[in-house]
Amino acid sequence: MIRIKYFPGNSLLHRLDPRTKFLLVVLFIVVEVAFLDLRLLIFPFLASILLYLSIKVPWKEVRGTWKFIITVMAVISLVNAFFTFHSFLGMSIPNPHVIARFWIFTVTVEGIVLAVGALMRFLSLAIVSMCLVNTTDPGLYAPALAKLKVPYKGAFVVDLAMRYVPVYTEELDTTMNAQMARGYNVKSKRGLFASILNTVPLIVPVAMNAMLSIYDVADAMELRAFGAEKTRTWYRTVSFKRIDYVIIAALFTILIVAIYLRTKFPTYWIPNLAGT
Amino acid sequence: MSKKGMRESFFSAKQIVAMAVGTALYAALTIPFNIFTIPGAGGLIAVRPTVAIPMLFGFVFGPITGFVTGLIGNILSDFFSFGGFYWNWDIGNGLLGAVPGIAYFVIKRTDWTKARTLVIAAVLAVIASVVGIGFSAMTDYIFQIGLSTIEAAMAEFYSAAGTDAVNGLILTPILLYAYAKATAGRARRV
Repeated sequence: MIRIKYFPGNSLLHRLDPRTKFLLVVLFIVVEVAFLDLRLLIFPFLASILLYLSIKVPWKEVRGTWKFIITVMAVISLVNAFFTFHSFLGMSIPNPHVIARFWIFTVTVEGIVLAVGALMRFLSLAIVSMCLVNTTDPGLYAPALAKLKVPYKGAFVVDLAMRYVPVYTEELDTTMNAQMARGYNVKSKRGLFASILNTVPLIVPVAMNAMLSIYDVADAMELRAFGAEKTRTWYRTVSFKRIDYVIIAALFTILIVAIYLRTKFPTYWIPNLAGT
Repeated sequence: MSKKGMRESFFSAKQIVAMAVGTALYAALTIPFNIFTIPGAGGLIAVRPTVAIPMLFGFVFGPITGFVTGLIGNILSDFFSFGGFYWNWDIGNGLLGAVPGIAYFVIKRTDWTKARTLVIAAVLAVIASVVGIGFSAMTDYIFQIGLSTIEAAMAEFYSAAGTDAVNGLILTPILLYAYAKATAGRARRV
């Protein structure tokens, strides 16, 4: 089961202002996009694992989520690798070193190296994303976005959506179990149309339940005069502490180092297999 | 009161909640489906039956809500599964929701269960797929985001728009019909 939710705690990441954590995620995205060399990608990958270990999320609670995420990413990276034996993201790979061929796939050394890089990139971004979600109280997203000058209605959309994502993932799981108890087969049936129709017993109940709640929530908000004023204040507030300034300074230093490394190692790294 | 005056704001409490619910639904339901991928030109394209969610929200709540549902929903689902941020695909997903929003202005809520409306929903889903994915594939090519040739962009467009169109074509009318039936007779469900 996928669990994307907040786990209360007292780690360094728990104590940081959500805006600092937004910046951390943005830095990881920039670094992961900038780094193409596998040897460089190891650093953000290890850093993300260390960050995740530091937040001490109960493993029993998140094991299922990680099993799912790692499976998705491994499948994507591997299938990608088997299709990228002659070019990768527009870069041609001359004379690829073929290890094996089967059906429509070709396994090459270059493909595997690029797949490992892609897997590390995907995983470290997923880990950092989870660090943000697992350590940030959902009630703090809106005040943090408001401090970033996002209009309050926009902040409210993101705030509510972040609260609802874990609710709907759990609801999807419950619906799947209920349908399976009635003989529903989760494995896709033969043919594209049959596979799509097979998702109807899952998507329709969850979507309808969610949509029927819209008016009740909107009524509750209107009764509290939501939208009556052009601006609003938030019950909870966020503010930078000394540790936030230290972390932000460190993030900018890392960004400068990353830009330097990107100029030194500007492209993909393929092991030198000359003579093999 | 003029007809224009009777149309509610696109940023009323109902629309704000609809955007949030649509966004969360699209993100939460899409994450499990990101595992189903097909090879595209620049990598892999996820086969998402859930593209019908922004299309439905656009149809029922209007183009702005549909756009926000697709845009932020795609940002969140990528954030939680693939990791990363792909601005042009997020806008493309937003367009998947915005295009069916045309129906919001021309089709009455009481007509949602009619066969003609369901056909229109299916047609709009296909048009939305062409427009939304067309935008993403073309910007991938124009800005050289992983694609360097027009052939690669077209291959990406055919595979992604094709799967989204089929998913939307089948599921959007089903979801619209289910929603219309579920809300039939309820007050203030317009």
